[in-house]
Amino acid sequence: MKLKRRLYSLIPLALLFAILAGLNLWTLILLPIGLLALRWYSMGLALFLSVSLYLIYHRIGGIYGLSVISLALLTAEMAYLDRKGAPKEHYLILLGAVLLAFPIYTLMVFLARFTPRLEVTGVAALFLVVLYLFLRMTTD
Amino acid sequence: MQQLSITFPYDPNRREKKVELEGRMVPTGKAWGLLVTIWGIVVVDFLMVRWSLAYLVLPLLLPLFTAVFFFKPRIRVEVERILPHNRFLEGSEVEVILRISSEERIVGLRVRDDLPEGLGLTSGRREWLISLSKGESKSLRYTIRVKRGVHEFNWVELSYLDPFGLFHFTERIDLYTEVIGVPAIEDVPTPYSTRGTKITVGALPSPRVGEGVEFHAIREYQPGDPLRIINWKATARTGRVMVNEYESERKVDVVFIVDASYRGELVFDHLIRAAASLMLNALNDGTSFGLLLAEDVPLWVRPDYGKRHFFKCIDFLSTAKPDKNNMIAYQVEHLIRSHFPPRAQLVYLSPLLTEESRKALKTMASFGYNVVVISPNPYTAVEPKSREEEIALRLLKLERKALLRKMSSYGVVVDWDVGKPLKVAMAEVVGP
Repeated sequence: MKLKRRLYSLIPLALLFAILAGLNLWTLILLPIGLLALRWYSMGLALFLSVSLYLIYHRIGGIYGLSVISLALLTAEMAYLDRKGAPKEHYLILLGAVLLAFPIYTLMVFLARFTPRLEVTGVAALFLVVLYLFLRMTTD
Repeated sequence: MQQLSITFPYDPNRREKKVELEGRMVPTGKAWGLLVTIWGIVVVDFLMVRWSLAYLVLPLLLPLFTAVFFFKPRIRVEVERILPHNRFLEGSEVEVILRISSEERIVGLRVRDDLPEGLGLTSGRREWLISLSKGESKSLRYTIRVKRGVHEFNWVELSYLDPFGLFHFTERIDLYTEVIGVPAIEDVPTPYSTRGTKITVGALPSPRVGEGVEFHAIREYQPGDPLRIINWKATARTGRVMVNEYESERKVDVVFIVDASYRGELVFDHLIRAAASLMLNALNDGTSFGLLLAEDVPLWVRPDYGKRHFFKCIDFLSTAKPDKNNMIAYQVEHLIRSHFPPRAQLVYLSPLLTEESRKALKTMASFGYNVVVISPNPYTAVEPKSREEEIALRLLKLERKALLRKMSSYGVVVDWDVGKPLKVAMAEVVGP
């Protein structure tokens, strides 16, 4: 039987659950949401939110946390591109944009060494301001 | 059913449009979902006093920024819709090609084609997400199944999308293409119940004596008779020069009358197919034919010959729809008095469901016309779903049988079980 759509999004999904299972086998509870994310974007966001809550609750951050979050996002976004039969170029742009989070995070960590810890809060606050401005810009 | 292939006059149905659009990007539902999620994570960070993990939203923020700052909403494209013709036999599959050429690089362009209601998509899809580089042209294909009638493609929707589908700029451009689904045609002989009455030589025996192939009688030789018609045996027997006499074969005008009453909606397509098939037969025989399409506003095409006339009638049949017409008897009477050729063969296509349609048949007969009624049986087009329905259908069929028997005094009635080919139904009544 020939599948009518691509399933590239299975790759980040498999990687995501491989990493999460290494951390705690109970995280496999999220697998059904992960599979539904291949069909509906809203389920992708639900997966993303669940994974984020888990990471925040257990204080799991750093490159590890960022990788988990990135894989969850890639699952949801690549499933969207799969559904639309998007050109391959779009997958590359998505991968590039998501991977850009790692050098930015590294830069933040690097800067935090030379600045008081309060600066981290400053960066978080800056995020909020940027988000606010962004919302204003898009809803104008 | 044997399908005949007929070649329609070629009409390259190509329309192209050059568009240059520029607008403001609008966030999609997906963008709003992503923004709400980002806010949710930040709020949770603060509520759980784990604000230092706020950077976890970085992978979400970056696609949003990339979409806003790196992709500008501008569409400069040329769109063309290509179909091989604009007339197709109903039921045939047609490939539609949408050709898009871009004058500049477009990373994400969503294209959606208008698909008229009467056309079914058989393969492919009518929405695509494509990327175009400068000067590139792409052909997007899908296949449709054509139904009888006029179908109009009115627009093509172009959406500039960033690669993540977070923002869009959508415009619907007018691109008109017309497709006409003409009725499917079967190989059926026209059922004549009259003799050839026209002066032109044709396929029907006529009451006149003349040159033909059908033997009529023997008579004495008259000066001027050709030598090849001398009957030598009769000459030897009688001692006088005798010649054979033949019936001449002539043509007759045929008028097709189509009852477009909404009551016969169930078998209306069969009615139209039968009319088109009989018209093709008349065309091939070189017979002149006319058409009365008895809709609410009647449509009369006077008898004529030739392909151009045939296609004109086929076009009218293609667009015919069942209508609330209670005036067919009046329409027929008026046209008989003013336009119908004398001694023509009338072929009346009607399920005979309304009192008016039966009155029309009586009118035709009362004016001395020979009428053949092709009457598709609407009850043969229904599959009973229960025992009660089966009994009801049987009763209706009996009632119809009695009615048709009454009507047969006004003309030759062909009761057509639409599950069978028309040719079979006609052979049962008028012979093969």
